[in-house]
Amino acid sequence: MNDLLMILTACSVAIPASLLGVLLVSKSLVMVGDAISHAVLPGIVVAYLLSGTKDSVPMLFGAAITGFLTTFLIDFLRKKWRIQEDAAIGFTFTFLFALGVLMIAIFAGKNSDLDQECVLYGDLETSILDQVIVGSYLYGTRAILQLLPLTITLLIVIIVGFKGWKVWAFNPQFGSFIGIPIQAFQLVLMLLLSIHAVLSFESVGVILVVGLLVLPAATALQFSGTLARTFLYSACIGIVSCVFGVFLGKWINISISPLIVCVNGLLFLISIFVLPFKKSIRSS
Amino acid sequence: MDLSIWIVFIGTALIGISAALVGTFTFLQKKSLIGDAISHSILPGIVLAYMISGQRNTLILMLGAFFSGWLATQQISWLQRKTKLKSDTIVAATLSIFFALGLAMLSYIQGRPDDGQAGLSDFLFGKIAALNIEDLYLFATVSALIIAVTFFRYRVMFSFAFNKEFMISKGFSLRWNDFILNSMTILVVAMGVQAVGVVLMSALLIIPVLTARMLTYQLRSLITLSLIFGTGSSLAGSYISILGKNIPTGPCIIMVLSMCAISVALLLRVPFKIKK
Repeated sequence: MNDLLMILTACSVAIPASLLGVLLVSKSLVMVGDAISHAVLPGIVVAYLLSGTKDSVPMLFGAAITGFLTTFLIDFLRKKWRIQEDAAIGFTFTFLFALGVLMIAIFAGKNSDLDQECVLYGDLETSILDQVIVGSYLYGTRAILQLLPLTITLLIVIIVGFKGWKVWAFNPQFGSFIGIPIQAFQLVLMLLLSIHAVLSFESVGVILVVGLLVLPAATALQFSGTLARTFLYSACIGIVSCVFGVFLGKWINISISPLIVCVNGLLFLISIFVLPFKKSIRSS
Repeated sequence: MDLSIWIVFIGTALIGISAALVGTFTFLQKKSLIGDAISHSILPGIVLAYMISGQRNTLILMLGAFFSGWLATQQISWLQRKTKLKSDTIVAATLSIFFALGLAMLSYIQGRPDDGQAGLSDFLFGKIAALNIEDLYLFATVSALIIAVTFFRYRVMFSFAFNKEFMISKGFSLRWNDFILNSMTILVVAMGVQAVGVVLMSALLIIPVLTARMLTYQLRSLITLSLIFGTGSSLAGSYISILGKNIPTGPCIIMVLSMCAISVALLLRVPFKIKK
């Protein structure tokens, strides 16, 4: 039962991550995604300090605000300070992350349940203990119930605006020429990304989120031709690596969330080794 | 003043100097995020070195860090040759694979009964107070090496930053240049993680030169200014973190650096507005 819950929790983090990752990879916004997942930390801390609980509603607001702040700051640095993009990203997220860590160290104190290590590593094993039981039925863990609406919203956003996303990722000039609000697409993506980062930091930690974002998408891109298939493959790879990660972690008895990313990475490296075989099959 | 406080100050100053120096060239060659990737990916090397040697010796840990950082840069360049993925995807993929591996290994040794590994998680955030006098000698050697290499290869690295094609046509090897720059970055990162930690080490490479870049366009004054900013704020940050009891060193240094950058930017804005 616990294994099943763990797999479900891991999947509920990994599926939206791998879908978001496809969009990030195809627009080469991966480092911005990394920056956002680091930079939601001060938002989380401020929301926690103001509300006093780890309740999700204030945290979502905090995350949304810091997510927007990050994208705005990166754009601002690039356009107003004339700083090259990589340095602008590096400056923004290290600054916000340092701010978050300092706020934890100074304000949150010793006896709060928000400490540096839980934010950095995340802990799947403890996050499944937070169960939602109504009546005598177990409905799932809190992480699942929080991430499920996000996943559904994300799916709706992707399916409804599929053509829009395609234009946004591959030909933005044409998109703005025929009147598609390209900027709005970008903002929606950043919003969803920061909400995902906040909801998943307890189970995976802020640094490993980028692995869940980029690795399934990069693997899927190795052997898929169209955007729709890339989404599908990426989600499947995310699920498979969650299952393997959970069982591997149970077997060697170490922390599960890094293992899931390791399995993802292994699949990625394998896909690169397999790639030349596929090419030779095609040509023959 | 206590001897240990002097050790802390000299240690941070050495880290600040070499980070600012190497950071200038990674910034000019537009490789700032490679520094970020390297600083995350030295974690498995550190943990492995600890697992093999069983002690927290700085030299051994730095060797481990150098090895896995080098492996990460090799993986990045291998993926760039082998796949059609864009470079930011490759950097992020490498970073997350290595970091996850490091965390998994860390959780493995934390599950073991013998303790003494408690100091190892300091690498994630940095704890400068753990430095001793032997570490300082090592730091001084590494910094001297970095300064010497920069001094002798100053012209080559400078030209590679601004006109790569010209240098290649002149017969200089691009891969050799990349190798030297990457090795210097790895050395600095391996040294600096002890003070500021894995996550924030890239800031020490980026922010000083970014601040200096707003003030000047000349390479020589760029290096001088970024050295001043890097060293000054490392010293100020570690001083603040010693004054306050429970403040981690790394975030403190980064906050001082960022405040420098922000105030320089604001000061630069003011005269422009008056001119208009």
